[in-house]
Amino acid sequence: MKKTVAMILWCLSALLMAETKTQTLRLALNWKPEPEFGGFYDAALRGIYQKEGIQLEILPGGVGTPVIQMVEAGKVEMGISNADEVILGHSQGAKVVSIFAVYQTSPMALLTHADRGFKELKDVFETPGTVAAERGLPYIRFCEKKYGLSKVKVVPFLGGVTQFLSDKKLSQQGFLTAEPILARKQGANPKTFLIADSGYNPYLTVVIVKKDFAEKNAELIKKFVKATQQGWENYLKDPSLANQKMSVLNPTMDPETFKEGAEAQIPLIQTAATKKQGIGLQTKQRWKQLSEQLLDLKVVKQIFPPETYFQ
Amino acid sequence: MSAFGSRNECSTPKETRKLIAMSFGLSIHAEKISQQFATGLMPIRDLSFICAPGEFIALLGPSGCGKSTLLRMIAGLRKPSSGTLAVGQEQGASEKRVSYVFQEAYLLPWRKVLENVTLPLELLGASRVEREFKARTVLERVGLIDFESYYPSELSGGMKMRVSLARSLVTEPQLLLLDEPFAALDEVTRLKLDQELRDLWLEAKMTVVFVTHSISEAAFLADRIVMLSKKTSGIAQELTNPLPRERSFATRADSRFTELTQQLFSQFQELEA
Amino acid sequence: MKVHLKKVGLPVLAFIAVISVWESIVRLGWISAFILPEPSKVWSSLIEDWPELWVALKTTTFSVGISFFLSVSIGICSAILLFTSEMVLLALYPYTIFFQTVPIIAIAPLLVIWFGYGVPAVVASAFIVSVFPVIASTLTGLLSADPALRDLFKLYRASRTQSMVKLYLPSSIPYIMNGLRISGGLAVIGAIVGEFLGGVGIGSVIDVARAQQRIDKVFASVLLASALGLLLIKSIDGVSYWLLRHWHPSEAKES
Repeated sequence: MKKTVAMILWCLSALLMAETKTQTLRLALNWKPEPEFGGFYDAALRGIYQKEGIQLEILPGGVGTPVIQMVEAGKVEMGISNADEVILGHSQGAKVVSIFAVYQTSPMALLTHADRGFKELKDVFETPGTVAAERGLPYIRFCEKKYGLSKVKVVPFLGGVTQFLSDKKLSQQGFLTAEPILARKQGANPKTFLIADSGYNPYLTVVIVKKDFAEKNAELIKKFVKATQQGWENYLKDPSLANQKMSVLNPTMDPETFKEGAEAQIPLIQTAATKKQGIGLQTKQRWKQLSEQLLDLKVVKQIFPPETYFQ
Repeated sequence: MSAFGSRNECSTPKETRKLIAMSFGLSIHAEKISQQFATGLMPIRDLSFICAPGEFIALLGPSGCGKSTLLRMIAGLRKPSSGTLAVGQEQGASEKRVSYVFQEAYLLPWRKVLENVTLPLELLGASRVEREFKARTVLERVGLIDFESYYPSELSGGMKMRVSLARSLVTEPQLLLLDEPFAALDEVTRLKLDQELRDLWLEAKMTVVFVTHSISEAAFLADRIVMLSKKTSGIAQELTNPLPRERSFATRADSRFTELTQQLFSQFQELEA
Repeated sequence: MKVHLKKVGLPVLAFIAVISVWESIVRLGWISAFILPEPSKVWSSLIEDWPELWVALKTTTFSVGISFFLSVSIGICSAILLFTSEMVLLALYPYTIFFQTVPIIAIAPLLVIWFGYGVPAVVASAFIVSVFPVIASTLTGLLSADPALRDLFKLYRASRTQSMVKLYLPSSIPYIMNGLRISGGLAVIGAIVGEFLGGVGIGSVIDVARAQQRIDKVFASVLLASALGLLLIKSIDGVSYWLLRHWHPSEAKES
C-alpha cells in the first residue's frame, strides 16, 4: 500500500516537474509585427520554442515603446532593441545584454525621391530639402558629423510614408524592408540609401535581457537562441507562415509587402559569417567599433568593454 | 364714510380725466384680466380694478393668491392671458417711467453703489454727469451718500435695499412697483424703511403699488388696500384707509390703525378658511 | 505671520521630504537609476543642458502664449455668438462637445501636414485642446445670469448689446476664470504633444532625449513644462483675484 502511494506521488510530481519545466517568457517588440521579427513568429508558430520548454509570448509594440525600460524594470523578460540603444542605456545605468542580433547589416535607410537624382547619401545632406528622421537616434549624429546638417531642415519622423508622399522635396528614414515598399505601392518612386553603407552599422533588432537574468538562466538563454536560430532559418527559406500571422496582427501592411520585405532583408540577415556560425551572430570587434563610434560622436560619456554589452 | 367694502367713487368722468391728465403718476386700468400658467394654474381670473394716478395701493393676501403675478403683469414682465391691462393710458404713448423693486435688492455685485444707482439712467443713455448727479441726489435722500464707493458685498441687508430703492427712484418714475421689498429685513429696519417710503411718496407723488402679506405694513403705507383671494383668484375686498396723509410711527398707536388692522385680519382669516 | 509660515513652510517641508526619499530609493538601488533617475541627476541635467532647455522653453512659452490668447478670444466670442442666436446654439453645441473628445495624439500628425512643422502646428494643437473649455464655461456663465437681474434689465428696456456688456458678460467672469484655469493647463499639454511631432520646443527635447535614453533630461524637461503650466495658472489666478476681489465669494476676503 505504502509503496503504491509512493509510486503515484512520484509520478504526479514527475508530471508536475515536466509542466513547470515549460518557462513562460515575454518578448516585447519595439515595433508592430513586420518582417524584421519574422523568425520569432515562425519559431513560436511551429512550436520550436515549446520543444525547448519555452512558452514565448510576443508582445507587439509601436511608436516609442520603451523596451529597454520594460526589460530593466522586469515588466518583460526579453525585448527587442538595437545595439546603439544598448550602449546608450549602459551609459545611463541600464544593465542589459544582447543575446541575439537579427540584422548583421542595419536596414536603417533614407528614402529619397528618385527624380531628385541623388547618387549617394552625401547628396541628400548637401542638397537643400527636408529630412524626416527620429532626431534622437545616433545615426543622425553620425550623418551630422560626416555630412553636416546645415543645408537641410530636419523634422520629426511621424511614422509610415505619409510625409514622403506629401512632399517631393522630403527624404525620410525607414527600414529597407518596409517603407520603400510601402511608398512604391502608393505610386511613389523612392531611391533608398542604406546608412550602413556610410560606415554606421550597428546590429539591429537584437534581443536583450537583464544581465542578472542572463546569469541566472544561462541554459534557458541557450535554448532560446537555438530555437530562434531555427525560426530564422525557416523564415528566410519560406516566410509565408509567419507572414500570415503577422499581417493579421499588423493590418497596415498588406501580404504582398510582407513578402517583398521578407525577401529584401535576406542578405542583411544571412551573411557568409552567419552561414558558418549561425544567424544572430555577434562579435566583440563589431561592438567595440560601435561603442567607440558613439563615444566619438559624444552621444555617450563613457563606454565599457565590449563584453559588457552582449553574450 | 365707512371704511368697509367701499369702492372709490369719483365725481364725474370729465373731472376725473382732467385730474388724471394733470397728475404725475400713472393710472392703472385692469379689465377682466386673467393669467394662466402652462401648468394650468390660474392665479388671476377675471380681475378688474382701477388705480388712480398718485395713489398708494397695497396688494394684500396670503401666499399664492397671485399678488406677485399681478404686479409683474402691471410691470409688463408678463402679458395677461386674457383681458386688457392699460397703464397710464391717459398720458398717451410717450415715455412712461415704471420702476420695480424686488424682494431682494438684486444689485449688480461687480459695481459700486453709485454705479448701481446710475444703471437705469445709463441704459437710457443719459450722460455721465447727469446720471451721477441724479444718483447722488437720490442716495442723499435715502441717507447713503457716504457709501457711494462701497461694493454691495460690504453692505448690510437694509442698506442694500435702500440702494435698490434709490435705484428705482433715480429715473423719477411715475409708477413704482414694489414686491414685498422689506420682507427679509429685521423689524426695526422694516419700520424705518416703511416710513421712508411713505415720505418719499409724499414728495414725489408717483403711483405706488406695494405687494405685502403684512397687515400692519399695508395699513400703515397705503391709501387703499386691495385684498386678493386665493379661492376666486380675484379681488376679495377693497378698503379705503381712513388714516391721514401724514403718518408716523405714532400713527401705529392710533385707534383707527388698530381698527383697520383688525378688519383686515378678520378678512384675511375669512379668505384663508 | 504664523499662518503665512504654515502656508509656505509646510509645502517646502513636504518637497524636501519627497526629494530625500526619492534620492535615497534610487541610490540604495531599490529602483534602477536608468528608469527613475535621482533628483540630483535631474538637477545636473537641468544645469548642464540649460542652454538647450532655455531655448526650447522660450519657444514653448511663445506657442502656449499665442494659442492661449487665441483660445480665450475666439472661445469667448464663440460662446457669445452661440448664446445670442438660439438657432446657431442648437445647431453647433453638440459639435463643440464632440470635438472636445477628439484625442489630440491621433490628429497631431495631420496638424503637422496641414500647418507645417514648428510653431504653427504646435499652436494649432494647443488651440484645439484649450479652446473648448473656454467656450463651455463662458456659455454656462452667460446662461447663469441671475433671472431677477435679467428682469431688471428688461424693465429698463435695455438693448441686447447693453444687456450683454453690462449684465451677461460681468456675470460670466467667475465661470470664465474657472474655464481659463482648465484651458491653461490643457494649452501646455497640447503644445507639448504638438511639439513631439512639430520638432521644436520642450516637447521636441523630450522626444529626442527619450530616443537617446537620457531619462534625466526627460525629467528635467517635464519639470520645466510643469513650471510653465504653473506660471500660467498662477497668472490666471492673479487676474481672477483682481477682477473678482470686490464681489465674488471665491475671491472676497473673509469679513
